[in-house]
Amino acid sequence: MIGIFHYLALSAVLFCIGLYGVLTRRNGIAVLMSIELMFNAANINFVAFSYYFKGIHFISGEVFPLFVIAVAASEAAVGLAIILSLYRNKKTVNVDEANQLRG
Amino acid sequence: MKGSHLIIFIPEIAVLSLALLLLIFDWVTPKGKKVWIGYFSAVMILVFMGGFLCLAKNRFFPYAASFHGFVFDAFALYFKELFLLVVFLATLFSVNFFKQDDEGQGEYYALLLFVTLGCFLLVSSADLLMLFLSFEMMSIPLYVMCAYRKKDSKSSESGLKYFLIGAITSALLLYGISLVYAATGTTNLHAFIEGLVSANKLAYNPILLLGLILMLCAFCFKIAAVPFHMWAPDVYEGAPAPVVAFLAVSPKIAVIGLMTRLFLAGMQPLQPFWVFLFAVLAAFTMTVGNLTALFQQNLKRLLAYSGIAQIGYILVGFASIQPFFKNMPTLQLGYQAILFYLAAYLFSDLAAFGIVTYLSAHGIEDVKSLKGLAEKNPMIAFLFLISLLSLAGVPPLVGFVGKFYLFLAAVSSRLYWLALLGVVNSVISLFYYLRVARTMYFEKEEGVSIPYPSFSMQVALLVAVLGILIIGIYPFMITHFSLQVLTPLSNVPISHVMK
Repeated sequence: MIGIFHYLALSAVLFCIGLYGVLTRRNGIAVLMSIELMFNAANINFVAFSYYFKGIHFISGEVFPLFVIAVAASEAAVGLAIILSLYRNKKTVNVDEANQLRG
Repeated sequence: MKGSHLIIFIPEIAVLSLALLLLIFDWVTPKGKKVWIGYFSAVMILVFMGGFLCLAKNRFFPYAASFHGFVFDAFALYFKELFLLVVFLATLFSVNFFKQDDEGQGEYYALLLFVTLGCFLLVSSADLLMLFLSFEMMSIPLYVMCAYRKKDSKSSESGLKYFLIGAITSALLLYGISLVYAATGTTNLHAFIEGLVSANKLAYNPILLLGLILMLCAFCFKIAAVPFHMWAPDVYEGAPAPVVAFLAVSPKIAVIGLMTRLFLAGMQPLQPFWVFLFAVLAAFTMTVGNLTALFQQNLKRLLAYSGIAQIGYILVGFASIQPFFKNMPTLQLGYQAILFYLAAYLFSDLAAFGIVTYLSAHGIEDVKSLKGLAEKNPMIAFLFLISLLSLAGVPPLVGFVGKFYLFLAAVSSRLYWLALLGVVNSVISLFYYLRVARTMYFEKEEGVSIPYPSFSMQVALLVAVLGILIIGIYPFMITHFSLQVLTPLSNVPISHVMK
């Protein structure tokens, strides 16, 4: 029987994979993908718990992911534009090589 | 919802319409005349500020009204006036800064207003969904603005860094919200706070605690509190100066406002945790910010670290709540000090950043290139001195009064060590502020003189410095107002709910 804690564990694992990717990947686009994983981990939580709560407040849990998907898309659009502008200036999308600003 | 209830959205509707209008103006204005879009925007913002004040005075106006996800009360109105002031000054700073590279100016002023709209919604949000969406609305335009100079690789890099940190912040916030929803079954802040108050057991639910901690981490990233402050100096150094002026004030005030609403309106069952947490955060943020600022050569980096220290002082206010007795006057004192200090920080920081904007438009970005400024341009040097002394907290300027209230609140909550640390930190901060002053006044250098600032910059600097002086000498107009604003907030739940 798959219970609510299975979903919670799945989302936690997904979130940690995303966090690991953000911290270790050097390619800007790969970092962006890892961040999307973290967003989706939260979405799994919302959907799973809105099913679990059924009666009272389920609707906010179902509506939340829809908004999150839209926000993630707009964030990706802006992020890719910024990465593109960095590529035009420095011919790299590597986060490590963007190191002009250092104290 | 009835049409008449739309009145509580008037501030948001006004700002949104202005932003859209600016986009249309940008389309019809010929190239080279785009400066007027900025002037028009600034004038309209002033009109809004006056209009919202009249709105507050109108006794037919529902003073504390809320829909499910949106609250409009005096507290929100106070913050909305602050945001309008910030965007007014930032617009005036930008007008002459962007004159040289005349590309995409209309959009720039519209973006400033979109961020302001996000801040408006953030301090008014009463639902976690609204909170998340307005948080994003505040952040996403700022990523674009940091990378606004497309040909400048430093600006792109600053945009990329701010974007990556911002996206991680959003992800942490979202995951935190999902855990809070999982633990409480609701995203409505009032329902959630009532649940916390009624069921004491819930407060020690590990899922809820983890969710709240993740949300707090996200807030700390946005206000650049230690240990989440590393992005600030890099982003500030690369981004265009007027953007930095805006970035350093508006989102920080918005997030602090949101935290005030969250912690004042509820969370009493969790108080023992977060009082200690905030005391430690405040101590580290102040000390690390001030000690690192001692070694900075770049003006923007210096102000970035000084801004981190200022946030540390504000966090003292969150810690200064008597945890054992429900002593209302003490509880008010900490939050009142926070509200006052936000206004103080706004005026002092914007005055300093205004001058940095003016200097950076003439190619001066380092402390050592300030040599002889007092002879070349005595007025600018004097205004810079005033704003720095206010940031350091020297009487009779507004920064002193703000710090006095904060440390008083700490003492009355028996956090003597924190108040003492705050005073020691203020003394440390005098070193680096006065180092800048010494370079300006006592180190001579022959060089080309810098032209006087343009009209818009003069107006903006005048407003900021007058704010520093007048509120510093007569602080009661703000303290009185902040007490009025806070009193209804501490009585949960909000009485007047409209469906």
